[in-house]
Amino acid sequence: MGDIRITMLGSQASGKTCYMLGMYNRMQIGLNGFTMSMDDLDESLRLEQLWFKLIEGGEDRWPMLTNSATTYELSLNYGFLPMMTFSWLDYRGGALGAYSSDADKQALVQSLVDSKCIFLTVSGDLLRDGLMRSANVKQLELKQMNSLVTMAMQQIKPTLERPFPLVILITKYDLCASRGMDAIVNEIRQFFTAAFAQGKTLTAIIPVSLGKELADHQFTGAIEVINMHLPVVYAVWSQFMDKNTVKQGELQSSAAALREREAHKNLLAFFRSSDIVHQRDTVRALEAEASEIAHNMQLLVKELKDVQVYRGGERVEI
Amino acid sequence: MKSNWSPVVYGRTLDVDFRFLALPAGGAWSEPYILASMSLAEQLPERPRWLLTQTAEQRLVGVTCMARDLVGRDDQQIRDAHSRPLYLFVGYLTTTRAADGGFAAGPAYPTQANLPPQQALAAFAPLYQYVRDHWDEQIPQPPNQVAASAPTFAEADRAKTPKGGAADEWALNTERETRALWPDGVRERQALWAAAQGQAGVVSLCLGLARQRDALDSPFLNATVADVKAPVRERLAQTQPASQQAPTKAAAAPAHGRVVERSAAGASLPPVIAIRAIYDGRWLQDFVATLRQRQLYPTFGSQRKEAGSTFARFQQSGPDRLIYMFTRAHPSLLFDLDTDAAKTRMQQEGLMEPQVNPLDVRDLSGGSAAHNVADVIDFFTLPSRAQFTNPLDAVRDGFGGFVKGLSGQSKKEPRRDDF
Repeated sequence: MGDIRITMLGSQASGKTCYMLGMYNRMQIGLNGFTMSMDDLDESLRLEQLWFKLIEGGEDRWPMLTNSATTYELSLNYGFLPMMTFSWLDYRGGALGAYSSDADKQALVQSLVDSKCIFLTVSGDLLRDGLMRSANVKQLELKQMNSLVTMAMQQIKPTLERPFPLVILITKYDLCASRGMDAIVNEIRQFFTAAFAQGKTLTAIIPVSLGKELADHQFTGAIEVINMHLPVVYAVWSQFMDKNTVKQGELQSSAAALREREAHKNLLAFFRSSDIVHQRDTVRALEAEASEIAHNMQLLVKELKDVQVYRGGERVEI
Repeated sequence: MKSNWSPVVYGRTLDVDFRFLALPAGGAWSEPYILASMSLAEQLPERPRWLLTQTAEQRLVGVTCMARDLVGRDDQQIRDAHSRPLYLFVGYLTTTRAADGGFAAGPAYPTQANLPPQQALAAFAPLYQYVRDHWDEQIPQPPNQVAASAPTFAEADRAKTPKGGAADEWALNTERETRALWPDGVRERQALWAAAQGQAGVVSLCLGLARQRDALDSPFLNATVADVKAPVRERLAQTQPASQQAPTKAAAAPAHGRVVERSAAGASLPPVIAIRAIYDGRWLQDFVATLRQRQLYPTFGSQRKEAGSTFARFQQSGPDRLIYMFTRAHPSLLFDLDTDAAKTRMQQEGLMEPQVNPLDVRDLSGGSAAHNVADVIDFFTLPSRAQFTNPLDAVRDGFGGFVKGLSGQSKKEPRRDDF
């Protein structure tokens, strides 16, 4: 099981499996020192084969319809060293609107409430003509996504100090790119109001695409992945940010405890000297951990400089 | 003999996801088999998977294949609204028995090698009509329940074995803890299909799975598999004596779990299986898959998160038994289940959130508390909860007994069962 779980909510044909394929294969090659790997070599090979088929093109280039849930265990590495591992559930989009007795729906719900980051997937296909079209809203399964995220948040209980990271992932961006990112973002904000309503979520809007030519040439267009790594990098960064918040809190209380012990050491110097030494060690260890977290955050945040992140409705710099 | 068969079709249509499109009453047991036959669907083109599976009452025969291999590439209804090629299961289900007590034989496996898929699957092609009937649905409608009829199958090939093959060579496995796997050759397909057709008791067979791991994860007791080079019979799990399993967290995490039977034989009340586990994600998946193979469907009752581990609880919703997955993050729980001291210790050590009751005994009486999950320890079959006047006794008996067993103080060696 990975350090964290990431769950991608998306309706049928929203591009979940393709995103997984694109993200994994792009990151296997590596980007700015970051790579992605999988312990299960059989599954890794399988994803590679599916990717080659996608690159080759033709009528059968796209992955088969997903009909059951599969969890992948992935690792984001920097300089060949694992930075964070994560579990990723791929499932059939129909599960989103299925009854709770459905096994895949149960797997999805389980994954969701266990997640450290949730991706809400919007297909560029639906954004091309605008989400206002009722058929598109239905296909997006917006109500189901909202219900599931609400349920997850009730369990996760994010706070202002520890906001929960969400990604609104626009797949197949090539299909709606002609509208411009500003128009897309405005529409997303109108339809996903809950994700922008309060400061307890940290919401990134990230467009991704497998290639610009695919909008016009579904079976022959060249594969040229765009932004595929960003959602996962954001998820991992936000996890480090959360760890940093916790660690800083621990550090502050440990440092305060040390100061208190040192202030009173004259009174009980004999009895408390070992206690103070122990407390100093604790503070040093926490400082080292906080430093490593900060280092990882610095590495990751460089990749995220162009990502639009919102908190409480306001765009924020990360 | 006139045999009566009802159609079973599982697939998706233009806009609506996978579901049963035709299903007779009482046929839902087939779903895990159908889903398993769809694993690694990218390997399906021109390689249909034939499956035969039967309970004591019903026989299902059918194929999982690409729609285009069934009805031809020129058909207008073989891709979904997003141009993705469709695949599906089409088959027949019968309750008809022959004079010798065996089931009526289904469509024969083609005797001619390298027959084009559309010809090989001709007996099933009429069933595509049920896909067409549901094709334009926007909201899924219930599956067709069609009265059993007598399709014109080719002459059955039951009890035949190919030349040069001894009957033993094609003996089908009927043990649920074993998987018999063969190479996926024409000879094997023909012989095994014939053998399965002649089988009277419970059996299951899938021809053409892609990987050995898929076959082992599936409920099929027998399969031909593309990456199997020679016939092999695999036990699903290795039994590990309790004495060899240390009680510590570090030594736990066996490759497979064990079921320790503790309930009285012949007890009239349904047993409770309490499963305690320290969570290993991959193992848990395998475990859930195994439960499903046994047609036990755990529902995710409740779960929570805490630093370093995950809470989870499974509660099986079937009528004959209850399954709970109990988990722990600290050995003290085993001894101090009901004491505030244990909870306080865990809170102090950062092993749980203060508001969470780690092992609330209400769970044994249908409560909804969540539990820490950290590592695999063991499974137990406890006597029915109803046999305990005090639910706490159930916890003490099962969990306390486990602790004694591990430390060599158990009075009675538990009977083990492979899982």
